[in-house]
Amino acid sequence: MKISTTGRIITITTLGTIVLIAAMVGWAQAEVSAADRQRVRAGEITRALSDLRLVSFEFILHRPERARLQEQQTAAHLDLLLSDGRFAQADPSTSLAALRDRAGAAHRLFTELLARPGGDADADVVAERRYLAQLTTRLLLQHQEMASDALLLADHTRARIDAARGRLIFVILGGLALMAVTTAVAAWLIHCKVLRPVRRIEEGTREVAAGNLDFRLNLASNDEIGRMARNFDTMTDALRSSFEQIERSNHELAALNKEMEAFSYSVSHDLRAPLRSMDGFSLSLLEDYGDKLDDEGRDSLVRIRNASQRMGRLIDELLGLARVTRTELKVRQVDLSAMVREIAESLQQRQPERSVQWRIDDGIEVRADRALLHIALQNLLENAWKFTVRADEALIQVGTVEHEGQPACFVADNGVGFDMAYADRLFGAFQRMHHENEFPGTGIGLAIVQRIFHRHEAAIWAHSAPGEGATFYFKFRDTHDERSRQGHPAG
Amino acid sequence: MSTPPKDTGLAGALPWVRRRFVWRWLVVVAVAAAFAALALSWAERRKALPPERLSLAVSTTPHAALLHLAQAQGYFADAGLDVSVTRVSHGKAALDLLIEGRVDLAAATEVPFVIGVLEGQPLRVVSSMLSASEELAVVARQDRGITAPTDLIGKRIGVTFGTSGDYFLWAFLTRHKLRPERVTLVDVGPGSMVSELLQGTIDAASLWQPVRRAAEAALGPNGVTFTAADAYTVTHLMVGQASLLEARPAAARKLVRALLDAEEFARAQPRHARAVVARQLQLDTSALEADWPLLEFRVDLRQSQLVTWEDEARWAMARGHARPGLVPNFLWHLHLDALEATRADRVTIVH
Repeated sequence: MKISTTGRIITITTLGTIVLIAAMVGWAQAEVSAADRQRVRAGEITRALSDLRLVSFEFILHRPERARLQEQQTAAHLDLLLSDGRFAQADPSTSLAALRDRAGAAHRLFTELLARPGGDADADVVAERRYLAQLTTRLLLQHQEMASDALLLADHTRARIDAARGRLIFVILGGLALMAVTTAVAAWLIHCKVLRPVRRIEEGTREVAAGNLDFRLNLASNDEIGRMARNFDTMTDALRSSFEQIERSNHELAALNKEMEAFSYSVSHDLRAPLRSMDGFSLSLLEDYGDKLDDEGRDSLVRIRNASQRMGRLIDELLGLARVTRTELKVRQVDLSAMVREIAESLQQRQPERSVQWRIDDGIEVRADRALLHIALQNLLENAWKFTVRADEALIQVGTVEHEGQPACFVADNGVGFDMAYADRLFGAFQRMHHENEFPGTGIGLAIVQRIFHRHEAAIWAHSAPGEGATFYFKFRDTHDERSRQGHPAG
Repeated sequence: MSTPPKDTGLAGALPWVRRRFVWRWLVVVAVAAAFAALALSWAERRKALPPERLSLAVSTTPHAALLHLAQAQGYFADAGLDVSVTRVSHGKAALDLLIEGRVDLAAATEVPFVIGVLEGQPLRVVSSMLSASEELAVVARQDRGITAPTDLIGKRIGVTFGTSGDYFLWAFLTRHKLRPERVTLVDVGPGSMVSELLQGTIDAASLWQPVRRAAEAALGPNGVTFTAADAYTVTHLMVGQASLLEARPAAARKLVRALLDAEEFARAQPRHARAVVARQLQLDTSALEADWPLLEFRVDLRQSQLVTWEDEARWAMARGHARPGLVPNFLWHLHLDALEATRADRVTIVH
């Protein structure tokens, strides 16, 4: 059964129980009220009977007219009370019927008593005396019987009140017991159908979070939680398959890395040695036999030397790229502003003839690997230095801006810039935005920069336009800017 | 890595599951054992108490209907009594058996009881069983010039002396301001009453049911019946010897309990009750149905009965059924314990 169905059943049962209890309490209360009305009426009847007996025997003793009138009045009142229809139950209605009969008989006897003694000419004195004595005795008996019947009536009403109260208590206790049973059943169902499976799922998520992808919930129920558990097991199976695939890929990658290292070793050692020989022997030829060669021969040797040196630089750059990827990160707090100033100074020293204006914000700190960050900034600043060579008033800026609510660093220049249409290949290895004749370079620098930032899980992006300079943004997770934020002059 | 437990049913269940299963069965077995022990204990207790023997003298009239019902429906046995019933024609005969010591208790009307008390018998009333106001009647022959109660003057009226019929006739005559001395009373047994009427040895008779109906049927159009509901309400009593009731109060309580059960049965299932009584008394069911509404079955002891008994005592002494003397204190002739212990609300005697 579905949990929602179970919940509906529990809710309906609980509400039904409450309605039932309320109805039964209402019914029992109505019973108590009806019985109480009967009790009041029984009391009125008892009082009327007492009055009737009083005035009847006052009349028997002294025959006052006042007592006769009072007897008639009380008998009429008693008749009215005894015609009450509120005693519908068998026992009280029997008592009431008996009371009516006796009241009628008593009134008849009293009426006979009203006749003047000796009124019957045929009756002798003794018979008259016996007759009156019999009337009086019978009247007394009827009053006694009526008193007993009235007591019975009162007993009935009292018993009915007691029974109604008893039923009320029974209904309340029974209702409470029913509620307790309903609550217990609901609690048991919730425990069995919800809490226990949820605990199992909680255990499952904990196990899976801890890496135990072999954990299975194995809940057999067919409700929502059962379906969720089966989905969870399916998801765990899929995750396990994915992780196994990733593990296999990692093994393959590790093997590839080893091959890459072997390749790098070969490049660094096996390729560089012949290059050095080519460069060395070309230099020897120029120095030892330069005078024997014509201009074209010397030019060819110079070209051989330049090509071998350039290839050496390419190999160095490639090795650098590989190193950047493999080097273990040692993340710590780094003063980026100081690092930029240091690089700017070295660039200025390298080409003192150039006039470049540096604007470096103070107090920029980031958490990064110092060595790798230095390589990345070196590349970015060298690019800025290089591409502003033709600018009349070269300007290189380093600072921070707010990007999507967080500070981002930037390196901006007013150099030649590039077309954003080719931005997708900006960070690719050996990708160049300008011809090597215009701006020398290997095309590896920005690829290294991107890898360094990716290893720091930092984002890097660029914005530029031909002739308007270029700005490179990078954002570490917790770039710290000591100074007050300021606007970015590059836009 | 650990492998989670699987739901594999009881066969592959964990030990705690098996323990719970065993515990459930243990609880079921324990409850069943408790019920069995209770049932055995109850049966043993029933077996340990043999039914108490009691002999009753009961008239073969509907007035003793509660006793006949209790016997037929097994209420005596349910109350723990082993009752032997001696059937007699009327209550006075039953009381005679009691006085002779041939039975433990007798069902009779008030008059024989009152006369017995006046004669010095140590009788005690355990309870009343039945009241009737319109059952007793004077049935007369019209061909003897009787069409109204006053016509009875100078006539021979058959009556069983010392019975409720005797007292009723006196009350009837008084109700009509007639001196009983002005009629001739003839002592006739209930069994001879109809034939005496038919033969004309008596002009009228004071009768109770079912003799009254037989007389009315026998006389046919020649008969005339006079009743006097306001003159007398006859009550039938359960009477015992004082010595027995003092010695065996539990037996009286059981008897009252059986009578109350019979009363409840008669009230709840009147048709069934009438059928049972008719079968017991070998009466015509239709005749019993006519009489039944006139009978008020009620096991009680009422204060008004004391007044009636005292009146009857005065009458009995005046009639010569007993030696003249003081009216006895009938409170001393009540055995209140049985009814008070069983249904105290049925006792309205001031005591």
